[in-house]
Amino acid sequence: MKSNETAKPWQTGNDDMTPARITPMLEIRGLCKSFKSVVVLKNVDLTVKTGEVLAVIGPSGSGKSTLCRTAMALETLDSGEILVDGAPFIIRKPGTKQIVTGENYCNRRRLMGIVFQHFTLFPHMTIIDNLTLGPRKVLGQSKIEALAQARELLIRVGLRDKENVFPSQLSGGQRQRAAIARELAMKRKMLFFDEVTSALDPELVNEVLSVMKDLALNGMTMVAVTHEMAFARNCADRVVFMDEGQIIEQGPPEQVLIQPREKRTQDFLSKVIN
Amino acid sequence: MVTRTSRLTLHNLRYLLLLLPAAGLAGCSSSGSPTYVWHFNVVSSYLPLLFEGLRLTLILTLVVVSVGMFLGIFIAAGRMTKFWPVRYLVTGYIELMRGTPTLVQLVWAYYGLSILLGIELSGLIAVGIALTLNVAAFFAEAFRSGIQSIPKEQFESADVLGLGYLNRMRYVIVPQAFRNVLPVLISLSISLFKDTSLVSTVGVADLMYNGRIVATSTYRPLEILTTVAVIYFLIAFPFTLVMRRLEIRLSHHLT
Repeated sequence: MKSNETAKPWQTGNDDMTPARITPMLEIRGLCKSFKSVVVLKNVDLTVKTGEVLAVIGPSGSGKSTLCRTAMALETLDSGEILVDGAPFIIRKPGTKQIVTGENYCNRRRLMGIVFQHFTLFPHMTIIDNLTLGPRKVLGQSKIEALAQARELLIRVGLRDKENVFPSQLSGGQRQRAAIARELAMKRKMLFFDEVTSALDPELVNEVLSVMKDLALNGMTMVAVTHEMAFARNCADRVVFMDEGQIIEQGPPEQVLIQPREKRTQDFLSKVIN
Repeated sequence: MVTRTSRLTLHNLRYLLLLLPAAGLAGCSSSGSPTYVWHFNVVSSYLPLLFEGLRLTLILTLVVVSVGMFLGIFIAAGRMTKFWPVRYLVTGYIELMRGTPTLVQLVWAYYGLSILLGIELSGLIAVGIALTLNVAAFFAEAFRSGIQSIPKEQFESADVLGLGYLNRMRYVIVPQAFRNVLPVLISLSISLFKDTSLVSTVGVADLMYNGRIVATSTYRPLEILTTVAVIYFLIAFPFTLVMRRLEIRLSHHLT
């Protein structure tokens, strides 16, 4: 899946030979999460290698989104360990109230970005302002630097002429591409995609998927919660099937999508593919 | 384009219909049986006094609106904090301000403080404080609803972007919330502008107070108070128009 082209600003993956290739980008151990009395994640273990592209599939309510959100510290966890780039990020021992954050928590969190289904962009700012806000305020880039980078990224996602436009003037697909570009502007090492194409009209899905595919080819570590089975089959290194808060089955796309071992995976796929 | 302009004119003309009741009232005097002869010429010699009152009314409104809006931001923050003692206290304060008559609040501030606590404040200061505290509660509720109407993804995106709390508020949340509530803020300010007339009851010489003085001394309350009402209206009305425009523009913008 991966190819090593010349280094580009959006290319954040490491060369296959560097030690970082061995250190997993994200490690989740024994993650439990419930909302009030509803258990959403039951003791989930998941490792994402650097440069790996993961497609997370499963019926709605199976905990896919919560898994991403908890890994990004957008939700608190009930218990478990999350390691980012080989070091502790968030840890909570079972039965304790205390959530321990690892060293360099903020920097570690900054390695990861997320694109939501809706409202990821700031509607009161132009696209270029959306792309430069973070780099300027958080990464401390100069205005010139941030603008140059943002323009390059907009060309990259095919929105060269949209820099001074507001999100409400864009199509859903263009908005999602701009949102991806904004995360890239933050020099992320890993991106979560939380059903980014689910709210789009069918004809707009492909333009977003092709941007994601392009990222995958350039070595970005990605976790994509998706209902697009074609994307999972063609672009993912590994497919994870979740149901009722647990990972039921995972493996290469050919195996999970075409010859699933588990009954629940088979049932789900037979519903989705028709 | 042409049709649009003409429609706008018609639209604006419609507001003149609002004046019909007043015109009808005036018309009654000539045709109806109880003959009342209007003497609006009485007004002219007292206009300077009315304008002097108007000056105070405008200054009071301006000060109360700006201080109230500023306080409202912090009250809204207190209303939304996770720290429950502050939240309960602030909620109680807001409900007290919303649920009791403004006139009574003015009386508390003016007489209550001096009688019960021995704090002597000049009438203007006392009512200024009371009105500010009152309107701040309303502004706070407007800000809160404005902030709570913003999708949670906006908070999360700003958070994920790495912005700290203050930057999140400053660059992402407050600009959006402010746009959403601008019409409400203007509407509250217009209400306050008229509500300042309550200060006349505790002897502060605003437009209404001066109007009442003139009305009693000339025995022409109808003419004088109608003039006072027209002055209030002429100032409030343009703001109402601005508010409508903003509401229309906002509904077209931001999805």
